[in-house]
Amino acid sequence: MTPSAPSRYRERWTWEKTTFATHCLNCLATCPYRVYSRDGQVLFEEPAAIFEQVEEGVPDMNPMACQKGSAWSIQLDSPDRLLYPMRRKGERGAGEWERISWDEALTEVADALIEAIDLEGPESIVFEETVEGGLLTQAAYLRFAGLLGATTLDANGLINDFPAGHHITFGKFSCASSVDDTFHAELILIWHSNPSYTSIPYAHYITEARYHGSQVVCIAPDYSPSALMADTYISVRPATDAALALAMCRVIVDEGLFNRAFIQSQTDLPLLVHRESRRFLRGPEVTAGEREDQFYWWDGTGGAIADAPRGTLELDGADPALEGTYTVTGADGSAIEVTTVWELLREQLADYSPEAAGPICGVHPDAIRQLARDVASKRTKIIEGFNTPKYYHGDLMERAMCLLLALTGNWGRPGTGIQGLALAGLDGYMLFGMKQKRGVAETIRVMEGVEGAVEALRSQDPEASDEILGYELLQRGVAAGTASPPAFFHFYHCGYKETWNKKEWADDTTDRSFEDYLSDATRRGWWGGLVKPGPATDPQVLFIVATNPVRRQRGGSDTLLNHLWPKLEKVVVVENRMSATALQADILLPAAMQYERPNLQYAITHSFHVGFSEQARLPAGEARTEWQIFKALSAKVQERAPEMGVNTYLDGRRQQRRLDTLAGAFTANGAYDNEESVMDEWLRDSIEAGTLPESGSLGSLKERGTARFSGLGMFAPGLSLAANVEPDRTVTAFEWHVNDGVPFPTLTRRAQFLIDHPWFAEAKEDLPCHKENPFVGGHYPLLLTSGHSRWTIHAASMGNEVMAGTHRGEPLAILGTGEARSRGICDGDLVTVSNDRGSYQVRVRVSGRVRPGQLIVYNGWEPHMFPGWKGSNEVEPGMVKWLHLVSRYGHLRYLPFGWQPVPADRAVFVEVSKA
Amino acid sequence: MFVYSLAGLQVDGGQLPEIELPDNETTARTGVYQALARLLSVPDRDAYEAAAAGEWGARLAAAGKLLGFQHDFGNAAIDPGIAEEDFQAEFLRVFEIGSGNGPAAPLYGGLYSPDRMQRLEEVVRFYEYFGLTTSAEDPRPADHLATELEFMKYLTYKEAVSPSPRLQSSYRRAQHDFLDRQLVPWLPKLLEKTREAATWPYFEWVAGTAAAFVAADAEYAASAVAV
Repeated sequence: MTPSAPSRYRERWTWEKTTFATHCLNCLATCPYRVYSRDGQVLFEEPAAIFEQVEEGVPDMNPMACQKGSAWSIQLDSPDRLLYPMRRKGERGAGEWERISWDEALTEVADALIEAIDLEGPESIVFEETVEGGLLTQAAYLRFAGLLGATTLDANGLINDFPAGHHITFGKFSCASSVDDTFHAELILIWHSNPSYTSIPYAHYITEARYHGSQVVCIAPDYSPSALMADTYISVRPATDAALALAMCRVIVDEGLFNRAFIQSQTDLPLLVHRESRRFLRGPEVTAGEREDQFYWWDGTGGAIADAPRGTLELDGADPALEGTYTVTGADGSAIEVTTVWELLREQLADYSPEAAGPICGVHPDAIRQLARDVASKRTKIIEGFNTPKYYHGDLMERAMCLLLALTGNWGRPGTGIQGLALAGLDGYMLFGMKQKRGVAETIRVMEGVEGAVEALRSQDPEASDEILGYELLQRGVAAGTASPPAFFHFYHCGYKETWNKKEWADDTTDRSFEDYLSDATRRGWWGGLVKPGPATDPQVLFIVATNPVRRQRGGSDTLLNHLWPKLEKVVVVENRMSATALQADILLPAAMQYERPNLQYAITHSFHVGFSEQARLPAGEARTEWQIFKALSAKVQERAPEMGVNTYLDGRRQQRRLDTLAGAFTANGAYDNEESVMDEWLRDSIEAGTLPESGSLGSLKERGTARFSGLGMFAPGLSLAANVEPDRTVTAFEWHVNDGVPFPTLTRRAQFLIDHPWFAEAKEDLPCHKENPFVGGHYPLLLTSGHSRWTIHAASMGNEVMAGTHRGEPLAILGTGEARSRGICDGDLVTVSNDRGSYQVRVRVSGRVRPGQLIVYNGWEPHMFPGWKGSNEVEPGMVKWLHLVSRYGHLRYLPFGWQPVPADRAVFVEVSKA
Repeated sequence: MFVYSLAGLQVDGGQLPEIELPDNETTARTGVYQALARLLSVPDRDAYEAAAAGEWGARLAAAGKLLGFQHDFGNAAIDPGIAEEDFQAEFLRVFEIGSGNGPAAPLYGGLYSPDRMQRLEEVVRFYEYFGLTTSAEDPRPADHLATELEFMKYLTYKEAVSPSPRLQSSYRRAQHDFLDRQLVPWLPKLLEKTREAATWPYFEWVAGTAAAFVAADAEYAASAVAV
């Protein structure tokens, strides 16, 4: 008998079991979901809404979800799923494949790896790092790469979510409070971000804060979707945000609205500098034998030069002068003319009166003045996101924003600060790589070893904070690791030389080429040991796991496919769907998807909760998790090594590596046989380290779905939040600096606005300033901006048919009405977007919300969704700012996921014409 | 004085040294858990004789003399006329094998949870994280009550012998977590089923004693962790 419609409907919503899951994607939102399944198949998911209210009076985070996550299960069996290992049959990218067994695939990959080691050394095996796929994905390939001594290209140098300006200012980029802290703000500046598209799970805090009385201002070139959430919309000319911020700073200084005590304690603005050279007055200049990193101020209380304390930001009765010029006696008896950074800043701000800056940034002087006064009088938080890092001079914008917050005392208190990204401390993950075997005794041994190393470092610098020493320790770890800032790889191996040397597309302050600076930096040894594989070593094998460089490579897919690919013996892609990169692989290894695997998401401060996933169903086809793939590959390499005559070898650091014990090394002799055993260890160790409560155990997570972090742990990425973690309060970044006087991890131990490095002086960027965006791409009338779309996290949901039904279902450029009319372009037309770098075709939406002179193309579209498979990165040269090649200057030195040269992909100049 | 030994579990990759322990609050718990683990194991001659002589209560009380909390273990004995074979048979009927439909009051914690495999995985990982595997020579299931009590014995022992304060605190926290998640939830159910099993008062006392001590010790462990 045919079941009735009601019973079919009821059947649709009848399940056998529920499991918890989050989506381990690079939105990093850690939204907890419940997944409903029956007969081994996932039926649907819904937001679990399991977050408890943290602080009385502050709304909870529920439901913490978005439409992409709520429709994820549609993709599990979508037509683009990769189900079986496959080998390329025809030319690369021709789309001709043959299905092979796992054994065949692993044998072919293992042989290629062993040959590469034998021929060019293990550093010729290159992994593209990613933050997609969750920690179990990362751990698998990073462990494998680490055992081989391969090269792992730093993810932030690839995707560029690195706000260099934050790092320049604070010595770290991790400064985001938990998202519920937004509720405490009195003034919210949505600036260079579009949270109603990109932060759907927690954008509600902006609205709730507004209901609570907060003022919300949206600063953007276009009337962005997030402008709808604001009381005030300020239309800024693209890439001129530094001018706007500095003009506000000028108003605040001129009108005496600044917070003097905050500036004195938190920043380098009172520090003494040479009047002429603008270099800090350093210890040995004043006292023979004094530390190079001892700095000074003029103490108004004593009327004399005094050491600026290195161990605390507290003033302890001192009254460091902001204004004035002074003469101090040097160690050699000479008279040294000095002034303060504050005085230099005031001179700098002379160029940024609202009347002068207004025409630059396109904002009326009255609006600048009013907003400056509001910032000075209110607890202000900047919701910033990851847009600024993708501008050539994004660092200057960020430094200017930080200066605005510094002048007004706006960090370290609830409802203040700048909201980008911050990593929380899942210390078990950090400890994992250091443990030789499983178990608590080993954990304690490692933890005590780390503490011993920290104490040894402290003995060299007793005034250093735990955070500073944590960074020191991380720095030392880099030397033994596999990480490499990818700018060098791109320059030497991917055909960027000509592009990056184009002076007209770069900063025009100096005449030197990018290559000149790169050679200079390399010659000085600033990036010693990190340039891998070096210019003389051809990369042999490229591993791409859960990421999609052919789609998003700044500089266009040609850079990879025409320059890098021909050098490669083997391109191995581990993916769950046929992405643009998978299409270009030699060997495709099918990976399990969300809901098909246990996983933990990156620990970040947005929710400040663990993102946890269980397996709800078996992987589709023959797909495997990355842990299982790399475990099997380890065994296969070990099996093949004797036959190929490579059992041991020396890596690039002359350290002996072994292939004949690789399988046991990968699993720690069977201890980490599967994902759950790894997760269990991480979670238990995190509890040991104090970053998770007991309710963070694997068993408890299976019952509760999540747990809130209980501490920042013992490692630098977590400690950099510098916040007190309490069970009943939102997490506010930088509390330690403001409330406890804990110094910043910068050269001067203060939020640092003067960088007295000669290259910064050469670039005329020693202090925050505005520079016009270079004519990247050529002299064309439209400036192309971008951002994440509403419908997908990068390309992850691009093939989701439900999502596709919520928009036009194809790539889209948004052009202003006037610009469209003047070019004879109508809504829906196919246009060519072009500049001197390249071109592509795309449909146009004509909209009155886009600023004249602007073109918006949200990112995430796969190249094969465009005519001719040419995507939007074809017009992005991916310029790298040469100034970021500076290293070995205080806090400006390479840190994984941190300071390094990064490519800019936004604010390129283009023209559009009807195709 | 207490000389350490393990039953049902073995140290992963090595032997535990036999160490003479001081008598204190912690080792008193070790002693009680050791006695309870024996009480809940298939009885041997010694266990039978102690049950017949009504000595188990005194043995537990002696082991727990220095406990950091007040606890009355009570006592029970079997009829001295019961043969050793019959005593063992009743233990097996009630707790281990049963007749037809399995034991009336199984000693396997996983049988009291909705998913035994999941619970087994959880306790095995617990053991492994703290350096133990189930014994190849004494292959009791990992969720057997005696094994779990042995594990508690081990954790308290490790707390007592660890030189590092951090390790001591880890073992204390682990005791709290293991009691809270693994033992406390199901022992009352074991007692209830034992009462329903129409067995001798002695076995009701055995199940009740285990449940009562574990509950009291869990409170003690929670307060120790809070400190």
